[in-house]
Amino acid sequence: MDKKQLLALSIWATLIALAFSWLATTVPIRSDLSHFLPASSNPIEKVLQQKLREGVASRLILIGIDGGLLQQRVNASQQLRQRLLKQQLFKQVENGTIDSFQADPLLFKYRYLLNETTTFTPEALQQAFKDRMQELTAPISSPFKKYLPQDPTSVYPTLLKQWLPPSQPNTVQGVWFSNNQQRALLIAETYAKGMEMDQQQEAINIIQQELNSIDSSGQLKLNISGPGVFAVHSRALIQGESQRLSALSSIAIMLILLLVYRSWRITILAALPLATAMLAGSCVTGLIFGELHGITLAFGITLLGVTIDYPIHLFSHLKKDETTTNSLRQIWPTLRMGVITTCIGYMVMATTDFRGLNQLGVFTIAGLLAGALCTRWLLPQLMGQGWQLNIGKSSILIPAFNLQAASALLIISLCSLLYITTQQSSIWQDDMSSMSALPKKLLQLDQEMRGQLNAPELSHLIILHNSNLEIGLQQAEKLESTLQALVKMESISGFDIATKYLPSQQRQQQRQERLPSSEVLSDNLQQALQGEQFRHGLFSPFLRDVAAAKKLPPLELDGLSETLVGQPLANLLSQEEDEWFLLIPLYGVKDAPQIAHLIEQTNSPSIHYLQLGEEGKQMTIGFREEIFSRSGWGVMAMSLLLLLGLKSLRATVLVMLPVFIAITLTVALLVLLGQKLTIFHLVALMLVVGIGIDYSLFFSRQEVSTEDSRRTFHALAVCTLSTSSVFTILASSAIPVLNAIGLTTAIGVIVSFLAAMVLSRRRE
Amino acid sequence: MGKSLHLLILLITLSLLSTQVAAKWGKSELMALLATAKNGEQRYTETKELAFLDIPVVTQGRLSFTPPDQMVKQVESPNPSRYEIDGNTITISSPGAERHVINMASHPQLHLFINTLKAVLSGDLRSLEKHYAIQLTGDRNHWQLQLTPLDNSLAKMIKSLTISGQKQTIKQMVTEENSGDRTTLTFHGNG
Repeated sequence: MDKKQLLALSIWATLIALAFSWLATTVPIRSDLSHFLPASSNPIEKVLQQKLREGVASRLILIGIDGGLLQQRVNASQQLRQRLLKQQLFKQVENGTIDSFQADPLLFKYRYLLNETTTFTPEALQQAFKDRMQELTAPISSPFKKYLPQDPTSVYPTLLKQWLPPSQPNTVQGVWFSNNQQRALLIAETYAKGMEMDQQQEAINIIQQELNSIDSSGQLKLNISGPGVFAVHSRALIQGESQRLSALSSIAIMLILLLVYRSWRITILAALPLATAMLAGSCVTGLIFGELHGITLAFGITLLGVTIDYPIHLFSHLKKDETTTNSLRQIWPTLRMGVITTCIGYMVMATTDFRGLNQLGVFTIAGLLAGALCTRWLLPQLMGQGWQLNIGKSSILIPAFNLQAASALLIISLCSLLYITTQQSSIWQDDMSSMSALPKKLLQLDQEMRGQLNAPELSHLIILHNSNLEIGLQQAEKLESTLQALVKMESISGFDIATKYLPSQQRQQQRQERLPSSEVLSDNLQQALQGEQFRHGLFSPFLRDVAAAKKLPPLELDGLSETLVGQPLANLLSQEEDEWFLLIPLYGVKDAPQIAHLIEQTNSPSIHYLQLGEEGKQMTIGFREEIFSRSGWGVMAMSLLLLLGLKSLRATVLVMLPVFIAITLTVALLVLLGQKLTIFHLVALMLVVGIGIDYSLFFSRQEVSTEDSRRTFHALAVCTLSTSSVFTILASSAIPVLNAIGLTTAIGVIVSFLAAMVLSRRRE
Repeated sequence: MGKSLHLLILLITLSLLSTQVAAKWGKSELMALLATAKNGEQRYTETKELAFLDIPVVTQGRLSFTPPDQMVKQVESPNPSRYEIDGNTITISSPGAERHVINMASHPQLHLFINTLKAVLSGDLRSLEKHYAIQLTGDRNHWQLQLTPLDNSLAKMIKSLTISGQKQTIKQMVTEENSGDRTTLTFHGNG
């Protein structure tokens, strides 16, 4: 190794070491999935997404305990709840148990403003006293006993009952159970959001550990599900799969290179641009975004697999009588052109609203540039001289431009285009849940446990919005009668609404006015107490509380978050850019058109009826259309760049034509294979465009000699072989996203190679 | 002289005997005695003097205990109902109402109270000493056991429990709650 080599190597090694240590110490690797969901500009969609990602629903873990005896399951449920409540991670753990009752002071104070009907006629009071007497003399005393002097008509317990979820699970010994009693059920709410996967992972581990330590017999089986569990599972699956696949890919590429070049030195050197590319991609992404997403890393590394092409071009063109730098200079303009056009393609990705795709775009562009620079400036230094690829005179066929083959390809391509366009929208997959990496069993378990918990399915929703919360609440109260009418008509079985927990100030004031004066109430009480055995003066706290309630300032949202209505209110109310949104979930929807009709009749532009499945689809379609149009612009930009670089319209068309053929054929093949296209297919197609242009450019290069042509052909054949192997390995994955990208790219690369070979070769 | 000496010896012997008997009477002895009691069904009267009410509420019925874990309280008047306690669960049934089962883990105070009753009935001193300060007064023929809760959550509800009886038979159990409520459970023996 001479001085120059040593210098180059040491500069490179220093840079790599610096980059690596910077990455390791300062850039956090995120695992939060929300960046890989599209961001929306529609405020209603934003509210929905925010609820979905960060709302209470996203923080719930459903727990099921199977196996053992019934009593074992009951006891395990109780103990698990007690133990989890002691953990810092869990905000709430419910299994149907009601802890010793303690009224919330604020809500108790406001009970007469929160409850619908509070009539204190002598008859009503008399009935209340009869009921209380029965409760008092029962062998097991009521938990509300101590509140009797203050709340003889049981207004507060009635409120608590109203605030219970619309349908409660089946119980055994006061503990939630499935109807067949085979599974004890619990719901844990974590402080961490569903997408905060490290905390979710910890929560899952703790639940498992605690159950293990409770269950000494080892007969109980834990079932666990929920958004956080799904996220953790997906991550584990994708991580495991990516690691397995990249290991396989590395072995495949190494074998190919060893077979082709028959040199360890070359094989190892070929990995340098790839390694540099990955590190550069990570660093630049870290610098720009301040973080690096796990998925960016996994997909980005896959996409950077293309940088292995760069040294291949170089190696295949090395000759004995020429310095490495000289060989490189001959192919560099073509290589450079290819790299730049590919980068333009990823630029499209970097400018979408998908934060995850932004990162992926930046990662890939930085990586590609670094890989190319490494090939240009570092490899020649390290290669030294004297190594060459012995290319046999007749061992490789060099195809020339073939009019018949080209025409045939074009005709097939046009037929493909026709086929695709006649399929129209049915080629698209609009249901993103079908792209989920999760095993069907887990999704089934989730459905099953939700059914057993009688958890209402949230698919129909009314959204009401107003800049003023008070006016919004008043509108919601007006809407309540419409909703009750729908319940009566059996169009819906029930609904939840914020005004149930926080009535408008207007309504609270109306209730205050309806409360009897101290004199009237005192008289009514005297009448009702005739013949009763209650101690004299027992109910003076009741008189005092009603009198105080008449003077209370109306209850406001502030300060309610820590009370037991805090959670439902957080679910049903949301403020987005100075606008208040009231979410009104509808349960047991049987007649959607009837709902739509009645909502339309309210004639209010601020009340919307949403069917969530449909909304989700619309969001997916909108997002896909955006990516689609951006890809179109990307291809236009690439063509323009080529026109500038090649300075010939004919040459540009000749380069782009094979790409066009590759894309149409690939899409047609995917559709024929029964694949429904998603954004992931679109992203992979962008990769194919970049690779296709690269191949076309090399094939249409004006080589000096026949030997050079042979070498170009050799290089491209090796590139196609290695890239298609890597992506075929990816396509073997059962994870839909990896499968989509792998299959699309593998087919695309092979078709690109064939099309470029047939079309772009100059006439001999 | 001989006669008076005789009398003196007799008196001394008697007094020695009586101190011996007195020395042998204690918590452990009472518990051992209670453990030998037959656990059949007993009639009871329960009088609840509630702070909220002017007159006490009286109920009557039968109570039975089968060691170690089963207890049945059958209320006969005024409102018939049946409470079956088996291990950790209470099954409540009354005519015209749905039978329902509650788990005592969700009613820790009730759980502890029932366990106390069980421990007294089966003479389990160790379990009682875990939760109460125990004071025994009276003698074998008329004893009184006072239990004061040590446990915080129980102490919040119950001020004291006073159990009185004759030999191995429990006659009465008085529960005084902090709320001022007082429940007297009187046993009338078999039948």
